[in-house]
Amino acid sequence: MSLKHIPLLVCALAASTATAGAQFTAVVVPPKVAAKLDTTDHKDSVRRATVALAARVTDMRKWVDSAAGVSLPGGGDSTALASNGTSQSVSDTTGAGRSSASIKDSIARSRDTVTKSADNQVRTDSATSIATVEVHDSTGLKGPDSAAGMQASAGSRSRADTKRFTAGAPAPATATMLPFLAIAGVTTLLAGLALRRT
Amino acid sequence: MRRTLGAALVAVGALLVLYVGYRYVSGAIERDAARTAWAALEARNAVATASSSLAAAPTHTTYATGALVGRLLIPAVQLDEVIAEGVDDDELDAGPGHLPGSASPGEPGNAVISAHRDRHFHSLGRVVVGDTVITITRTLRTTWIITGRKVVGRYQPSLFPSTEPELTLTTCWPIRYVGPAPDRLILTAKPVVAPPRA
Repeated sequence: MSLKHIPLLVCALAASTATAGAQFTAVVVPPKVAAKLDTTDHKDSVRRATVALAARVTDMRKWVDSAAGVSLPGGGDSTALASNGTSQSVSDTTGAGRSSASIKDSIARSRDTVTKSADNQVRTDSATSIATVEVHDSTGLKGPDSAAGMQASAGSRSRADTKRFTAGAPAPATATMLPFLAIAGVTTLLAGLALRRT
Repeated sequence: MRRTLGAALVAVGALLVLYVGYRYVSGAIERDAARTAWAALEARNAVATASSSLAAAPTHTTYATGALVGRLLIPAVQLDEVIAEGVDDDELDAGPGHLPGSASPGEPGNAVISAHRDRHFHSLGRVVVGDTVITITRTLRTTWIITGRKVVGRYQPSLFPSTEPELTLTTCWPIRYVGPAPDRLILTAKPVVAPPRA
């Protein structure tokens, strides 16, 4: 066997291995799982926000009725709403000793205020609850004290390879360049041989 | 000039092919050595079991890097591999690696096992929910059922702790992909609980 046969022999050996057989394939476009998850999360977020906002609006109606002097069974919602911290202005518009016009104005203002602040609250709650649910679904454990804190820790984790198990870590890096190197090597080899023959 | 360039390309290509071949061959040799070592370990363990009653299984076994953790079998795809401790290149060349810090297979907690898609976990893409997985460690033989299968991004958090025994198998995805695969295939399994005897 002469020296010029060695590259051909090496090429034949590499091509005949069972493991290399899997590498000479076309590129497969990975499925866009992330986009699907985002869509699901978005729908879930919208649904939760809608439910939570409906709950707030129900409380708001009770409060408006109570402020307008309509007796309600189980009063005290206005106090509860004010103490919930949804809006500081709510406690200023209880309506005691005011005219009906000023009460309406204050109610309108407080409705806007409460709606806006409630909307913010809903979004915050929604984001937190979704993060918590994801943790529950994935681990089967009780949720962490602060889901936002866990997300922050996951986000702050560098993109270094996972070498040790930690909660929320990405899967270990099992990606390898060997298939690419094998194809690049064989291609280069064949190109070189073709150049030499011409 | 053309012949010189051709010779250079042949040399580079041959080097690449030789390097890839060396990595695959050395991995196969290490894999065989791990199988032999595990067989010897099982034999010694069998003798020890017969001569004296084993103490209660520890709740959390730790392994030194490179130590043999156990054996992994997936009958549906004829997968039979010996697991080593660690997920660095050296361990993953020889076989599936047990992620340090995760539970030992069968013990309470999440046991994470990873391997390259182009070698030991090449058939993992064909494993589906409902398939049976068997892990054998020095003290425990556990039968698992695949309960979850998902593809996540390489940096997406996918490993979570558990209080119950749980098995997570990971590899790169897509299986047939040239170059570093962008995603990870995550398979989760729960142990099969034997029904109580009548």
